Amino acid sequence: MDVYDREYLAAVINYFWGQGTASPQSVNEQAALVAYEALEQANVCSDSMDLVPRPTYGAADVKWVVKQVAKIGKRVMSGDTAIYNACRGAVGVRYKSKINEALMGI
Amino acid sequence: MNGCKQALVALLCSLVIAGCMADDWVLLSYAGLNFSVPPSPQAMGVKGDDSDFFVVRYGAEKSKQYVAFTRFLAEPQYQCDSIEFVRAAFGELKKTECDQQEVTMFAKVFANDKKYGLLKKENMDVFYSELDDSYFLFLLTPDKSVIKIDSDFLSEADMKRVIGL
Repeated sequence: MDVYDREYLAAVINYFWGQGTASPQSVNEQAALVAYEALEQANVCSDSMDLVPRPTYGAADVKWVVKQVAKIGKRVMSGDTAIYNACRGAVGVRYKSKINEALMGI
Repeated sequence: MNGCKQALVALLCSLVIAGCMADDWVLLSYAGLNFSVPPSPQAMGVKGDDSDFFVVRYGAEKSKQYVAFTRFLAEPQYQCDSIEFVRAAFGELKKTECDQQEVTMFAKVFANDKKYGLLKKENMDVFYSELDDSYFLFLLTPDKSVIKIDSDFLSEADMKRVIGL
């Protein structure tokens, strides 16, 4: 995970779970997996579209997941959050324990 | 970690891990209420912020097989307090000041086509929601706050035991 991935991943986490939840130094691959899972579930709020791309073959590799979440983080940092606004609250509640666990390394 | 945060964590730990044995489960005090959790945890963690996040993990793998306790705090966008929001989202309030979109989205995630309902625990209402991979309890406490308890491995019966039902 490079320095940009870390910054973008922290942006996604702070958008969904509140400012100060994560920093570029505190994020890790487990947190990226939880964020990706939360974004997948956020589809229930949009009905019409997938909020994250799905892997072409089989299960998603963690490095691929990091890159997908980083792409979303880049959009979040640019203020392009409209499609996530509707459900960030509810999805945030659902995955709050998992993201905290991941960030704490528990 | 600065001294203030250390003190906060120590305080939370002393509040939370004031346990003793009851049957084979461990008594646990959280937010002034008594709960119980299964024995032999692999790890525990406390996050010293407003949410008072406390987690007990039982699995060998990180972030798996956990029970977590959190204060469910009203977000500004809810436009109402946490108790009213939870009651509205689980369909117990027909008229509410809460933001309707937030209520609808919360209901989509935790109610609607899910198994959900209301339990009674002494003077508390407890809403439950069973999702594909986890079980959630929202306790409406006498001090007008909401405590969320969730687990990715405990059964419905186990979750009831956590809150003493």
